[in-house]
Amino acid sequence: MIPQGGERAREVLKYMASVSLKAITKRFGKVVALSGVDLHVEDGEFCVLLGPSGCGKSTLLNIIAGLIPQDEGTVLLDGEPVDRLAPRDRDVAMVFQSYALYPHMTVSRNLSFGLRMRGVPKPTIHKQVLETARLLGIEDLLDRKPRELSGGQRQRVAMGRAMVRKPKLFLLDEPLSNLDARLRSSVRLDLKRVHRQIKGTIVYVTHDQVEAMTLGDRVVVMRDGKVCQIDRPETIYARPVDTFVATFIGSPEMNLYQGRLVCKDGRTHFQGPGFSLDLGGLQINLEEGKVELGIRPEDIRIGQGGTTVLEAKVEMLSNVGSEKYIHARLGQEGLTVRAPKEAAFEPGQVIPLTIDPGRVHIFHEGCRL
Amino acid sequence: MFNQQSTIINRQSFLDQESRLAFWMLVPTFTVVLAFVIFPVIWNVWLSLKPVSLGDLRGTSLFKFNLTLENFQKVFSDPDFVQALLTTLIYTVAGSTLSILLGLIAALLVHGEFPGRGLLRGLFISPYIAPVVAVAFTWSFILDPQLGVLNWLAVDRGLFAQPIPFLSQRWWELDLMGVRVRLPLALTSVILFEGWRYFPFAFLFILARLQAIPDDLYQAASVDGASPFQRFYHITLPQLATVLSTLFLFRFIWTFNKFDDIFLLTRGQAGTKVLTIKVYDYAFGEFNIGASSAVAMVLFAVLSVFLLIYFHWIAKEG
Repeated sequence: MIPQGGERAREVLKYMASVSLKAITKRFGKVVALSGVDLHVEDGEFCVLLGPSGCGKSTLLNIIAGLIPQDEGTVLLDGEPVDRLAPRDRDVAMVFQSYALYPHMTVSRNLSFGLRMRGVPKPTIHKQVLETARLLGIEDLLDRKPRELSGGQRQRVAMGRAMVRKPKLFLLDEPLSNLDARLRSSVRLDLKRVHRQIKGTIVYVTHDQVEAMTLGDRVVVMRDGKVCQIDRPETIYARPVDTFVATFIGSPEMNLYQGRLVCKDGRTHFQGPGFSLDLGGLQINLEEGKVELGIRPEDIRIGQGGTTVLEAKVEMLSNVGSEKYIHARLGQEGLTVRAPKEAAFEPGQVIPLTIDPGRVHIFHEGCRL
Repeated sequence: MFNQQSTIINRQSFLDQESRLAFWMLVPTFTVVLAFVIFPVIWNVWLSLKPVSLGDLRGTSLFKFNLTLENFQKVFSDPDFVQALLTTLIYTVAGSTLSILLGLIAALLVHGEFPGRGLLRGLFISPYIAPVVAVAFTWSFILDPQLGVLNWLAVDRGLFAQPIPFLSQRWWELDLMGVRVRLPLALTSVILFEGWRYFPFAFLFILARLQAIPDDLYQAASVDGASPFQRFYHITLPQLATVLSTLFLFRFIWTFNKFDDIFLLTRGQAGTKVLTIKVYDYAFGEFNIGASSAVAMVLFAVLSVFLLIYFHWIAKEG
């Protein structure tokens, strides 16, 4: 039973809490699911955990919720350790990939479940359920059972069930992955709007980079149970810390080549397999040696003009409507270039390409230089 | 061959063929139902309306058209009848409920993961697959007041002042905190036996359903603030509702018609005379097949009423 005073205070605080993870480690038998994960999420921040399946992001979410105990490390909510608290005492809300709506309850009963379990007085429950339903536009569905709802409606109900309690923290586990592509983008916008309205702290798990880029205030890229990079989406896109992040983020993915840096006449050259790239007076703290060079498809210009001119042989074009991607051969390697939608090239045609040396990413042993 | 001949299908002949096929495919089912379900019922109705003794079963008198309600008059005027009907209902409802309850507990016990789970699940099935004669006699020996191990142990430990004849005593006077309670002892014993013997049936059904409840429902409920008991009450029980009510239906029908278990344990003595025992008593005690059939008709009627109520209720729920 939440005391009157506490409820009043909650009204003012409105869904806010910071969450900190300190050196979280989790093993399943011999498999290390998470190793030494540190993360701090601010009040009201939308934090996205992004990574390929099996990278430990969902495990991390379950640990924050208290559904799985961690082997080492601490979870802090608003600076207080909550490791000893059961999920019900952590005051967090979760949205599951499958939505996990209670099939035998109406939408209204689903929404009110958490409040009922906490013994909130009936008039308050009624008020909060209506308020949440109105916010999500599901007032008409309150008397229906989950099986009578469409995928998008179920998703809203799942969101509503999390929001109605005004928890400290929202945990969303791939909430859009069961929706079809068109619905996904519209629900994504709704989610962003709702977040702006309620200003909740959200930890959001996804493997979809578009969701991560569009939704996140900050994005945490994970791989094999470790955090690769935590930063704002723009920064992650512009300055990926390693080749994994570089190729995982961005579609089509970044062109990446193994090669050597060579200094000639005071200019730095990249020697790739079957091609050479003049990087001009690129300032990096590695004189010569083996490196990986990455360049995003949109950072390659078709035509001559710059200092760095390459020649590539067109193999195939893929048309996505708003633009085209040219798949070409550069030396012995493949290359993807973004082209305007008017572009017309024939397979076999040789085209000149210009690359701005300032736009290339250089990695040494996988890490950014 | 069939396809080659009918490259141009005459629609009418095609439909004829189809309906002929349908007819021949239905014939076996109809035959079986007619021979083993409908005919015995009609035959039983016929017998219950005639004065038939065991000796009349041979010969042509069975086909004489001498219908009478005498058998029913005899059955309903029997001073034991109401008591037997009441005993049957108590035995059926209590036995069914107990076996489902035990099955539920057993299923919940072995639902989680632990070493030796498979073995325990296998053990739980054993009462159901053991032959009824064997287990009934085993229990009779265990519960026997003179030779039984249970009474010997209880008396030896000072638990009972004297041996209790579990299967042969009608009433057991109990002193519960100053209140005198009269427990129908033998009936309780056979109900307990029924619960023990048939819980595996409920156990299997409930376990299968339990395994099918998605884990994330429980996770969602935990995060939503439900305690373990609340999770059981608000998630598990509603999810089991259908299987529990189906189980009750089956167990009710089967227990209502149950004969062998009680007959082997008590011979229907000491307040355990259910209607099926009455059927036996009339047929082989008094050699009165007509009255016996009449009691069987009563069983049939009561079950029909139960089914009617049950499906009416289920239809409303669904």
